[in-house]
Amino acid sequence: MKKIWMVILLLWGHLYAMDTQSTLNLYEDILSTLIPKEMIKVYTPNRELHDVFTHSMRLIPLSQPNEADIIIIPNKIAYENIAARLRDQKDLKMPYLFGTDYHLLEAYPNVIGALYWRKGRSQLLFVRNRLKKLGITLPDKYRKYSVESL
Amino acid sequence: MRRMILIWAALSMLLWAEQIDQLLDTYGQKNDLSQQTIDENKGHLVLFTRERLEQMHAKTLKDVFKTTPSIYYNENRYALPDPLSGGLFSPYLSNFIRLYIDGVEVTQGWMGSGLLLYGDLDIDFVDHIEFYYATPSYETATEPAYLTIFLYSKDPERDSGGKIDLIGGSRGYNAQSLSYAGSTERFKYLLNLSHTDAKRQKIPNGTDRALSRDFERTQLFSYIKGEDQFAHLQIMQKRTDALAGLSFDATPLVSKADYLNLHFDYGIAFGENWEAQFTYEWLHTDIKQKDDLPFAFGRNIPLTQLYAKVKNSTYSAELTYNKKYGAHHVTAGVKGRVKQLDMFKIEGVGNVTPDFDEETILSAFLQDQYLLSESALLSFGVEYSKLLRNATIDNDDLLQIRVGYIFHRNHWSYKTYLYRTMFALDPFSRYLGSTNPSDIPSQSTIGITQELSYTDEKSRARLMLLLMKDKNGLVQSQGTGTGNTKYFFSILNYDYNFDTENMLKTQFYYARYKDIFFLDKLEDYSGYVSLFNSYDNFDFYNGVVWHQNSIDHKNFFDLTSTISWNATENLTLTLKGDNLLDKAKETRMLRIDPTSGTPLAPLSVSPIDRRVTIELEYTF
Repeated sequence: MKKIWMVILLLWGHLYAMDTQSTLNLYEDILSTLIPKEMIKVYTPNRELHDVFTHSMRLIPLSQPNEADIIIIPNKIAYENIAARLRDQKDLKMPYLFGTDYHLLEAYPNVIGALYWRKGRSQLLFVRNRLKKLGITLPDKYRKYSVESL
Repeated sequence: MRRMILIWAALSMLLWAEQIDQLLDTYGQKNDLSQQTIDENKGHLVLFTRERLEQMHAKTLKDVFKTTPSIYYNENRYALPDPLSGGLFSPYLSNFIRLYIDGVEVTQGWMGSGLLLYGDLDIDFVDHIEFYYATPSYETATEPAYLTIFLYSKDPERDSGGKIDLIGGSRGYNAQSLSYAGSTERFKYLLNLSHTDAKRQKIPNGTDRALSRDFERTQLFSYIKGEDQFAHLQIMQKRTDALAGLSFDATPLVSKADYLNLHFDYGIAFGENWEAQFTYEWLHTDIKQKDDLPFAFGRNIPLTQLYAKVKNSTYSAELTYNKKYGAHHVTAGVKGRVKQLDMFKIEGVGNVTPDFDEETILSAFLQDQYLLSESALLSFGVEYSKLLRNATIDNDDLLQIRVGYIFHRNHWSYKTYLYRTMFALDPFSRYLGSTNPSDIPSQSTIGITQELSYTDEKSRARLMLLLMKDKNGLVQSQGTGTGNTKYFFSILNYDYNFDTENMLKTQFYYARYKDIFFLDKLEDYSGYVSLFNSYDNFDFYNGVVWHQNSIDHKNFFDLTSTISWNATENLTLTLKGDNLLDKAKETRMLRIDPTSGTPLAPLSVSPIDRRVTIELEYTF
């Protein structure tokens, strides 16, 4: 902790980086809830998040979406790009889609949940009827972070 | 047995829930955008995170600035943000408070600090605000400052899409704001347009024309940011009723001033070590002042009417280099700023060409942050500035030095700075002032500041102590004091988070001045207590700011209360009351009978209006 504090102190100017440990702890918990596998293959076009995942013992960050168990989508442009790439590979199993923007949950019914920001606070939300379609049952600890439908 | 299993299951659920709550809370705190911009070496920090701004329901910088210790929001006799004005006749006294948006300074050119127009700006585009006390690290300040305010804009990755904000309130006050933010793989962008029609409380002045300070402001903020480049464009138009304006006895027949300001900046990083920044600013001022008695300015020229248009431009550029050499982190740079008067036109006279119309500021700085150990940092900085003015206005040479030490271990941190800083009176004040413009020495201030803080998961306590001594104090030199003021400030904060939805913040401030203005001794006290609570879809904020000083020991209380109903994820309705008791801090606005020079009874003016508003926020 001390080292992290001093490194931050010494870095020049603006530091646009996620906090690795807290981000990993949360994503590992969320993704292992959705995908009961020992190692989870995850793809995200968000470079910062991808770099954070490289420090995980449980998540395998991929550079392409096709083989992923789950895809973390940052915005609508990224969604459209990924959807176009996945459409070309119809024989593959569709990965789960998870967002970092609430608007993605509203706009796309195949996005099952999102970890996003609202008025400066981090928010987590799952949509239960979308999870049900994929055969995923949310454990009780996540129930307060879920709604039946949107 | 069944009962035991049920209890165990219930406890397990509780622990799980706590665990995910904790993970989410920690993630939120560690990834707050302020964590990416805070620079502990910039000075003593008072931080308003996005969450805090939302809790306070702060809509303008004034809503935040009125709660800060030591230097708090105030307005001058032209109804412009000027915390150091104190009701005096001087044109502008807050040039030593500097304002930055996304790390780029905003100025009002010849008029000085950007606070002049932006001190109460609409902050709908802002994510968080950092106030740094004491002389800042030199990598930020082109001109000397002892309070620097940094506004950081929202990030489209967290606030994508659109937002509409509509406010209606007392006396017909209304404000509207429209934002849109987005990002692609290569860049991010944000556009915010806002309009405020501020109907404010009038100030009775003993005539049938009470002083007015209503204003109408239209503001555009926009940026585009790439991997290593950024550009901002800001435009502000503000039409104001200028309170007493130039009237000596605060009974103007006409007092208006309209401003149109443009700010454009561009920044680029070259590799890991070099950064360059360019800024262009333009300000057009349209002044309408009329009185039946001569004005409080004009170097003894008995003017009773001034209808004038003034245009000025400011060009700033800086180049900085930073590199780590072992345990050293060296930063060095050069900065330049040119302020030009483009036009000065007086109705009935035509174009006026004053002999003074340009100021050039050149500065160079070197700073080293040396890591003594994993827990301790020593910093040293030096900056030399040359201020060049044409015509009869003297040049100034300013040398500033700062040594700092920061220590952090477990829950404790300690910070101290020893500095010598110099300030020069801005040429505009010199030119308009009655003092001989070539006879004002630079102010030099020696200070030592210390800060001790303790932070754990639930609470935070901090004690800040500042000791300063002025020589040739600029404000004093124009008044009746000696200019050798001694200051002692102490600020005590204690915050406690009962949980993520119930939070208490407290602050106590005490200052003691020796030899200030015409007083041998002045003591100043203030306090701030706020409580934020959240229940179901409702948020509640209550905050009180208290002020008192040793002149009359009168107590002032500014109570702000809000109730917000988060009707849906996208829609929030808020009822807010500002200065509900109508007892916010007042400043005495001095008055003089210009015919006899006799002091008149001063007017008591509070910069905080009593106001109730209803607000609707919709995101899409």
